[in-house]
Amino acid sequence: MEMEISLEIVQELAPDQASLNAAKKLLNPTKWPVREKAASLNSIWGQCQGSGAKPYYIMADVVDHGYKCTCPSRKFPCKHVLALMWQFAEGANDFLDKEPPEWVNDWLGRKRKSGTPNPDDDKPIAKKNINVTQEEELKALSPEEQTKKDAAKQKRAAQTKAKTNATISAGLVELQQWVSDQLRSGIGSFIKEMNERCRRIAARLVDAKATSLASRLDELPAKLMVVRAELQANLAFKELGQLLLLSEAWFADNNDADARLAIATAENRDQVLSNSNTIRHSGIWGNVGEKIVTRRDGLVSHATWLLNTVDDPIRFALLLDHYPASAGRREVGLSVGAQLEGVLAFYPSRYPLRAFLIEHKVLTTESQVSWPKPSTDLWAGYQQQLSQLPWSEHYPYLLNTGRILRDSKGHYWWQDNLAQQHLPLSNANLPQLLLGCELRSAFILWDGDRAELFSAHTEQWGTIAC
Amino acid sequence: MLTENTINEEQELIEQLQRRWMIGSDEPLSLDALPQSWRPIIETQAVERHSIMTLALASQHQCVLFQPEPPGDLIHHTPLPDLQQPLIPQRLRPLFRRIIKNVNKQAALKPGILLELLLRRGYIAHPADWLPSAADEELPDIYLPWCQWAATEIGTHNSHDSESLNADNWDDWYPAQRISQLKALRFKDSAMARILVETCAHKEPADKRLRVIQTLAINLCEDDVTYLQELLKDRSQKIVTLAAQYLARLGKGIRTKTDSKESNNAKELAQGYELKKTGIIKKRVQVSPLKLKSKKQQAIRSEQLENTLLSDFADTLGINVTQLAASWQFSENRPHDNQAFVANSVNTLAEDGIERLIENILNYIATDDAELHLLHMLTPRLSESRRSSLMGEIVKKHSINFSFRDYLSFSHTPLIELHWNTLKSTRPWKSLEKEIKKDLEENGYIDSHAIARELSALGMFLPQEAAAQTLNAIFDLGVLRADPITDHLKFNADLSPHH
Repeated sequence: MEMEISLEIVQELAPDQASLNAAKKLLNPTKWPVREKAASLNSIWGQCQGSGAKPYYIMADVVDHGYKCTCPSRKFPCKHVLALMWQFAEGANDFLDKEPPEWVNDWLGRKRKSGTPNPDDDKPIAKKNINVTQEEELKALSPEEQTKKDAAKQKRAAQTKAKTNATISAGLVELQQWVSDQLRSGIGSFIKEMNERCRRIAARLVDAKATSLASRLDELPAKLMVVRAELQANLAFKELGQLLLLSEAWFADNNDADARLAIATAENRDQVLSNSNTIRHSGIWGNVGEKIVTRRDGLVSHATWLLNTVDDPIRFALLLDHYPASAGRREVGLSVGAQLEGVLAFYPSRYPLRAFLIEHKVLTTESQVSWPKPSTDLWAGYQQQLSQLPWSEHYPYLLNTGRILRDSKGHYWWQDNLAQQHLPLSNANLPQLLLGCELRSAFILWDGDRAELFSAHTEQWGTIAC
Repeated sequence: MLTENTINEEQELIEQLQRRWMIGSDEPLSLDALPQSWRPIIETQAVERHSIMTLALASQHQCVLFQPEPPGDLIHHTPLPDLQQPLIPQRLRPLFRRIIKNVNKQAALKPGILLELLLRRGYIAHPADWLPSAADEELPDIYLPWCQWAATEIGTHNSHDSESLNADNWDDWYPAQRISQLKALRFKDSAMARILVETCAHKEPADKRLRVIQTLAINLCEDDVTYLQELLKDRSQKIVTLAAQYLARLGKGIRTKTDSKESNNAKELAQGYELKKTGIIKKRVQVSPLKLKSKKQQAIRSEQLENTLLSDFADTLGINVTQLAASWQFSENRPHDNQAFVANSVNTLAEDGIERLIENILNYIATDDAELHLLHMLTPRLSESRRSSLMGEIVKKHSINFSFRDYLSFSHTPLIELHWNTLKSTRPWKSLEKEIKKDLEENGYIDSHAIARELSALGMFLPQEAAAQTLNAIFDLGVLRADPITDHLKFNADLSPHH
């Protein structure tokens, strides 16, 4: 069956002219690592590199014009859906015929009624024209105007930054005083009232524009709650001590990229890409772990850990995206065990970890490569990371051959195959299969006390996600 | 360079500091309370910052020096046994996971059914997607090593080597899996199973003991008589009754203290029935009920039908018990009496009696539009292969009124042969087709759980080709191609046999 969609339909679906203009900018095929179709399902889908760390996943039905996209836009359809349909209207042959991947099937499964209800039916429809988008691009400034505009923009940015720095510094003075107060009144009473106390100081830090630090404090009670009572105080000492070190790093140099990233809002994609210190790494990256957590501030934090399978020493990357919990479920994408080939840009750091995808393609199961062997010692690596970033919450590491065992209380431990090294695992539950096989390697996040196991690679059963 | 002594001294001081912070203190922190090597760093700070700066150093110190040691010996687990069978194709694993997740929500669907389908096509499940749990019953035999691994390694028991249930490892199995294994063993080697029951049943409490002894219903034979006679002395009355019924099945009506009462019951019951002879060339008997006057009499009859030894009842009517099974007139009796009669037959009829009863019921449901539940009551007496062949016959009979879900409650074995042309002219398909059309007309999509359950059932027992044709037929009706209600059929249609 031949599938088609016309440009008139794309124009009709667009909520406004601005959406069409924005969609037009996404028509560059390099922004689309995946463009595929399945005629039997009347469906097209793709991945588009947006402003997040991971690409957005978009699909559309070419018959009933239903659509879905993982971006957080409140416009329906968003520019990504329009751009996907637009590309299909102009070049259906650029879309490869494929079996729908799991996320497409999953969405199709939940899409029950044919036709997409339009919540804006009663609103007057603004005029929009798909051809106008080309004219818009022609409006350019003269070189003098552009220089003037850029200079003004830079000045504004510098003023804003100075003001933000002053606000953050004031917030951090308050934080240090707060920690001092907790030590005076006793960590015992802090643990009893940690929810309220952390919430209050977190709110003060949000006001002080130290948003990343605020959310770390807001999550501290949750972190303490999951460990056994006798370990809570030690963890509280460690966490509060690390926050102090972080604030000291800021006072020493508020331009330090690592301290800024851990305290203030992360820079956006364009800012990172325009920074000359940004490191780019290409390679075959395997997804070794996923973690989706709904935070107390109402945001969902979606972390994907990638492992470069060819680099030596081993290189990890953390793709981190946040979106409002109210935006609904969107944990689609690369499943644990899947691999992609592409380029990642890392946020400037003494210990580069946080990154986003610049361009990539997903590898088929047949062309996947095996996980590399870890070459550094866990303790040496962890200490090295702490010497660079003393406030690190976790250290990603690939464990060598070993087994999962349990102690008499049923807690999980990892043991190397010589039975010389033992690591307690923080996972409350693990797939049963992991107890019954030898692990060739395993991906963990080490927090100084315990390891969280994310996935393991086995000879017999392949990759097992935890 | 830090010596072990220095480390210990420093650790002692850090622990003192931690105790102080734990309780809280308004006193300024003295430099003497700090490890020697920290003092030069802290003394440069204002006094009011000593505490927090020391906390910062202590946090790093703990991160770097701490290396965990397990508390005592760790429990080692044996490797999950290799079942020497190909694993499910990788591309079908996501669909398998979706189906198995859904399986427990539907009473008629059990993991065993999905695993049986997989096995019939030559594969086993990936253990990361599924492993046996305590509640899983009637799994294909190939998974027995995994069942025992899960029960011994993941459960609380110690591990050992053997692969199937025996007297030594009796306690290491979950009760449901024990029953499932006993049933399987009873079909394969009834004497071995009885010896195991004899050796181990007495260790179980009454309710569990009853379930264990009920497995003897399968392939009940003369060799079981001695053990059944011993059970007449069991402390549980339910077990005594069961043993008496099984002995009756074997034609060994044991006279117990209640027998004279039972014999009277049989006479009283027989007075309410008449024996008719039909057929001109081939004479056949029919046992037909006489009309009763009151509800109380009806209630007494139902109770007697359930509890009287059927051999006594038949004797009083002047026929044998097998003839009684063949000549019972289901269409003339009240449904409640029919149920009581079949329930009694399950426990007391010998094999040939059961076969006559099946024929009788099949004729009844084919001509009287009755449902399958009477047949369903007989399942404890039927082997899986008998159930499967019976369902094969039923599916092909166009006149029988049943639902596809009924198939799964009878049998776990997918059909080897069923043509789409046969399926599409059956009553359940026609009624399903009608329901789908109606739902699509009303909603534009399938909203009915009943339809979803029927399609899931079809997906589990159809042969591959018929599953593919059924899928096409429902898509032609307008069901969305990606609707999850088609998952089971898609899985079936996609699961080509392993070569």
